[in-house]
Formats: sequence, structure tokens, C-alpha cells
Amino acid sequence: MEDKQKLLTGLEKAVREHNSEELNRCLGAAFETAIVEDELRLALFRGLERQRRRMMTDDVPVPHFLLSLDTVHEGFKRISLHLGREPGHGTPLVIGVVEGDPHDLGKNIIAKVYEASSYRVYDLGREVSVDAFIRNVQEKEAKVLALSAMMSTTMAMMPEIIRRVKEETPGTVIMVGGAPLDTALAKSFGADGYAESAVTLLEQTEAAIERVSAGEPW
Amino acid sequence: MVIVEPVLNTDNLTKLRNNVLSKLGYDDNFAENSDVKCLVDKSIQTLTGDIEAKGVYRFVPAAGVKKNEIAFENGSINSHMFARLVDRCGGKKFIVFMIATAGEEWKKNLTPGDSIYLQMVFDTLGSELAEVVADMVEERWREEADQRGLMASWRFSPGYCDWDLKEQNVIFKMLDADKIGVKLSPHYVMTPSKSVSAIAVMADNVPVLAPCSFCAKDCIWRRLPQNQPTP
Repeated sequence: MEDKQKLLTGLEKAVREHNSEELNRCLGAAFETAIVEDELRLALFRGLERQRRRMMTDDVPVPHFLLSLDTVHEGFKRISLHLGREPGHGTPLVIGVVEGDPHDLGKNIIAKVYEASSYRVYDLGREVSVDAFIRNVQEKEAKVLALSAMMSTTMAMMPEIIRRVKEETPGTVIMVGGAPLDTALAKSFGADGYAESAVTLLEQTEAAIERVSAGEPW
Repeated sequence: MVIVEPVLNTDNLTKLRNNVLSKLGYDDNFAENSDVKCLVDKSIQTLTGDIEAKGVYRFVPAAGVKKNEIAFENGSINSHMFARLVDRCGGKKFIVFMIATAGEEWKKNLTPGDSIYLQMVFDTLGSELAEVVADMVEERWREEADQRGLMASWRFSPGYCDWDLKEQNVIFKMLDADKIGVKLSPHYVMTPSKSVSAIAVMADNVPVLAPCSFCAKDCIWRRLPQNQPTP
């Protein structure tokens, strides 16, 4: 039987090298041992986090990070399947692209990063109406709402969505992102946080959750 | 109005490949990433027989230039920067309106369940294909400008610089985009999504090629060096 630490390091490396075969081999071996689920998830996330940090310093191009992201997903699915339950068990989060905007690649990447870091993601897709956002935040009891818009014309929908979500489901942490946005615009819209890209997403979301929980202004 | 159905040749496909790899972040420093290059090459090969590239363009005489507006027979363009560029031009002045589309075939091998990595590679391929097609449509109207003895500026698209995205309406009013299967949504989004709309100015003398000449901002869309002297 393989050494526990060796398996966890192997998982981390499989993510970094987006090696699906090695991922499945390590997970298969890990399921035969006493390694607990959280340790496996943590090893996968460590591999992704290293890639994310290398992307921050331009040591790896974005597609390499995405390959690692896909590998983490595959790993999470395999773990959930082994345990006989649905993937995703953390903080509930609703994400979607605002009405009128068909650009969803950025949102898809962000949703996967959230999922990979154990948020329970409810992806509403693209061209989502204000009512659909509010209904889903309420039904899923979402702690976080992540809004995406890739155009200046569709970005204009955000202040109204934010206003209504804050009115109808106070305490929801609202993150915004997308090409036409910046921190100043996000603040002026009344959002709780802004993430420029997948690189800063997790830190910015955690900071926004802390601010909202503490009742501190952004 | 002229309809163009450009056929991509080997040079265009090489340009497309290089642009896609560059946009994905693979320059010479990442030469070892043959898996990505293979995927891009394979995707381009499967595309070549089926690309539904189309474009349309039209020349319209410019009727007058004000501080923030260029007027023509059926409307006007509202951009201070582009008005400055047109104002610098000499002799007869025309605005060329153009729309080009890569169609939908570029994503025929992509399915909703595909990995994020594949989604990104294909999306980049679609975007760069639209730019290559737009370049080919631009080549056609430049040829026509040459024949008329006119010079032309670089192309300029709504949503960039100080030209509001809502002025997509102006371009769609001047061209029958239905003829090439392109539509504009109430939110000013084009369908197919990988489409390019633009204008340019043509005149006897065009001393400034892009509004960047008048601007000191170091934005990511900048096309001329910051220290370029303004004529």
C-alpha cells in the first residue's frame, strides 16, 4: 500500500501536471487507505492553488491553469462518486450572467474556480433576469451572489439587481466581475466585492464575506 | 452595399493559428506545449472546409464634422476622437461602414459538457477567426479605396475609445446585415457572437490612422506608441 503522504503529493502533482491518469491512480489507491475526504480535496486544491499562483506571476498561461481546474473537477467528481453523494458541499453561491449578455466563458471559469474551492455553486447560466437571480438566491439560501457582465450596455443592469437583492435578501454577499468593470464601478453599483479575474477571485470573495459579516463598509 | 464571402487561404490560416496561440499566452517561451498547439491545429483543420465567413461594407460621403460628431446623409456618428481624426483628413471624405462574421461553424465540435479548457481554446479561435475575416473584408474595401485614389484610416469599432457601444445601431442602420445573417439585440449584442462591426474614414489625405494619436492613455487597446507626434 502506498504511503499516505506520497499519495497526497501525487494528487497535488497530478493537478499541476493535469495528468488525469495519475489522478485516477492516486485516488484509486487513496480509497483503499484511511485517507479522509478533506485531505484528498485539500491535496487537489493545493495543486490548483500552486498553478493559480504561477499564473499570477505569468509562469503558466491561462489554459494550463484551466487544464488543472478541469483535473480538480474530475477529482472532486470521483471522490463524490466514491462517497455516493452529489459534488459541492460548502457555502451556497448563485452565479450567472446578467440579462441580455450572451458571454458566459468568463462566468464558467469563475464558477469552476468557486466549485474547486468547495463553494456549492448554482450556475444559472447566461441572460439571467433580475427575478431569476432573486428567486434562486432565496430558494438556494445563497450566501454569495456572483454577477457577470461582459459589456458596458449589459453591465448597466447590475445596480438594479444589486439594489433588489439587498432589499429582498439582506446579508447576501454580492460579487461582480466582467470586462467593463473595475473596483470603483463595483463600489458605485453597491456591490460588496469585485474580482478582476480568477487569480484574485477567492481572496476578494473571502474579504467581501468578512466585511459583510462584520458590517464593515467596503 | 458590397457583400463579401472571403475564402481563407494558407496565409490567413497561419495568421489565425499564430493569433490564437498568442492570445492563449503561448509565445516562444511556451514552445513545449505541443498539446495545445496540436489542438489548435486540429481545430483549424476541421474548420477549413466549413467556415461561413461573410462580410458587408458600404461607402457613404461624410457631410460635415463637428466637435463630437461626423454627419452623413442618414445619420451621424458621435465620437469626439473619431471626429478629430476625420477633421484632420483632406479633400473628399467618406465613411466606410462594415460588418464581418465568422458564423457559427467554428464551434461545431464544442458541446455544452466540454471542459473549460476546450471552451476557452474554441472561444479564442472564434474571436480570432472573426478578426481575420474582418481583416479580409477590410482588404476588399481598401482595394476599392485604392482604385478611387483614396487613403483610409484603420478601422474603429463601437465600444472602444470614446465611441459608445449603443452606436452599433448606426452601423446596422447603414447596412443590411440580414444579408450576411448578423443580427443586433436590444442590448447591442451581435449574433453570431463572433462578429465585428466597424467604420473607417477614407479621404484624399488621411494623416492620422487611429484616434490613439490624440490620446495619452496607456490602455490595453492602444494601437500606436504614446510618443507618436500628432499631425
